Amino acid sequence: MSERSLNINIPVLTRVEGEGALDLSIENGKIGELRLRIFEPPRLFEKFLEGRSHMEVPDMVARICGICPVAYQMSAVQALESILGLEPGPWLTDMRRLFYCGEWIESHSLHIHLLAAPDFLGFSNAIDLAGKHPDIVRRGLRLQEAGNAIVRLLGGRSVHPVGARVGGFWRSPTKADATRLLEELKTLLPQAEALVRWTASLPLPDEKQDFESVALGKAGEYPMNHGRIISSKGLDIDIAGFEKEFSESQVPHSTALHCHHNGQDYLVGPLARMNLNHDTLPDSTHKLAEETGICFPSANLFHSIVARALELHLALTEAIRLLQNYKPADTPYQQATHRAGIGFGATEAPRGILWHRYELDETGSIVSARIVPPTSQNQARIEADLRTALNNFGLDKPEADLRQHAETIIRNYDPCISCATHFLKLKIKQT
Amino acid sequence: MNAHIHPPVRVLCIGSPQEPDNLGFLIGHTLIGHFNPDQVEVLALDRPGPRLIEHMRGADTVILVDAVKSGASPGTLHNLEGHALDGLVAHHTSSHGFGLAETLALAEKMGELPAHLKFVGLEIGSESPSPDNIIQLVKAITEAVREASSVSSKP
Repeated sequence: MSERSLNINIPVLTRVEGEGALDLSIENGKIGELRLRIFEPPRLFEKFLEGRSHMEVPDMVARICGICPVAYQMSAVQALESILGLEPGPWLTDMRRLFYCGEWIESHSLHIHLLAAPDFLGFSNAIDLAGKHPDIVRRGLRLQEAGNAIVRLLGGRSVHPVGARVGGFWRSPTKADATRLLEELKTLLPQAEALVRWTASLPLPDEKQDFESVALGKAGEYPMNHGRIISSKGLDIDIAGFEKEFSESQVPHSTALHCHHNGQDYLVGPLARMNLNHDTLPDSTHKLAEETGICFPSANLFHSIVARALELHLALTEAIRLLQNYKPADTPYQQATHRAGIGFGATEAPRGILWHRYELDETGSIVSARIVPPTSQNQARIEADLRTALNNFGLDKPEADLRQHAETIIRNYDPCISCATHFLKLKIKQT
Repeated sequence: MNAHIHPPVRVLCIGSPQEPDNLGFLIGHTLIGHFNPDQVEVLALDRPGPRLIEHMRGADTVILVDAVKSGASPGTLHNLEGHALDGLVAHHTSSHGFGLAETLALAEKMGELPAHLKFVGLEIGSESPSPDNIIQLVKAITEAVREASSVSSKP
């Protein structure tokens, strides 16, 4: 073993959403300090929500993220409707799943093609990748557009959509618009199949790690909008139990809180979902998963990109199914009377479980809000992964290679730093 | 993924609804009703990143409108096309670091640039653009559209 000492500082992580950095020191051939530093300013959304009407929440939380606004809206309406006593009917349940399919398709395609793939093929960015493989990047952008089109159908626009509300959607898409989109989606299914095969053919590192996968499950389908919180270590709880089971803590180097389960890091996101729910994939996606030769559950975190591609195929398949028998609803939303209470929402954002808790007063105003996004849940896992994977990679490797491998590991999680930044606890000492 | 027929000329105004980066948003709304909608489509895009490629697709001519900080005097108009666009420096860093320059480079690598691409920008300073600046910018866009329409209408 080398007795090398080295400081690696990546001051600004590229090809991730938001502002973060990595500080890594190697002392006498061993990793010393390792900090995924998130320095993007806190965004204070939970405080902004206090005192606002519950009807404003879907539009406000959509502003947290330009990539996964649907997830924020869906977790919020689930929590608020549980307080108001609203139960989504079959039409709304289907349309919310369709809405979510759109977000998974656009987010996963963006990450696979523009952010992660260059790492595995030796390109410094997607522009260089497109120079050599234009058809692959073009395919990615077409799939991303398809996801945007689904979100636009129900949300009115693809970024920060405005179509969702507590109780349903403000309007029901026309049959003609739904049919037009259905025909376009059908033409893309072969491209989604090709994408799965292509990701499985990438030269991914072969490395296994011991970690706990946590995802929604037992939903009767591959989870998006509902389910229990389950894990690979036997956890099986109602979403209301999240606060007691998982702990959040602040670390000095990050404006995002770190989450732990029983004091340990854990994984959320596509690989965790696939590990826990692969038996609920539609037949066509399940067959593709078998073709990849990867046996899920997988302990290789680099299989995340394949899980992402499989989920994209699943989402496209599901979107086609849901649009095939589409009928506009006469009443796309339910009205509710104000009611005080506490409610919980948990859905599967593209990057993993997004958990919300709201308290309403008797006028329907928000008393308190708590939002736990997936990237803050993955943050401790990323740091643990870096320690293990860089050791396995070889700390005596050239600095540039270590730097590149560290960035590849971080990007593999598709971190959304802007989502994860949280308000800091402030202690004021008065004398 | 837009099945309807688009007009041949598209004006894409890039900017946030929020100050101070709201020039494209203002111009996009100023231009509502300014052109024949059968010939010219105007869209205000809030930091589109790589989604710009989707918005350019299907148009014969795309005119991009954006605020510029190049060191020139505030109010200076920038008209770029052809190779002059290669020097465009991105200042709209969208999610994942994909700004305007990166997106155009990506589109070029994939052969997704429109047949005719123009950029009309207004140099901005620390103050909001003056009404005169806005009028000059609208005139420059109108002229670019007129030139593009004459090219597009030729057989």
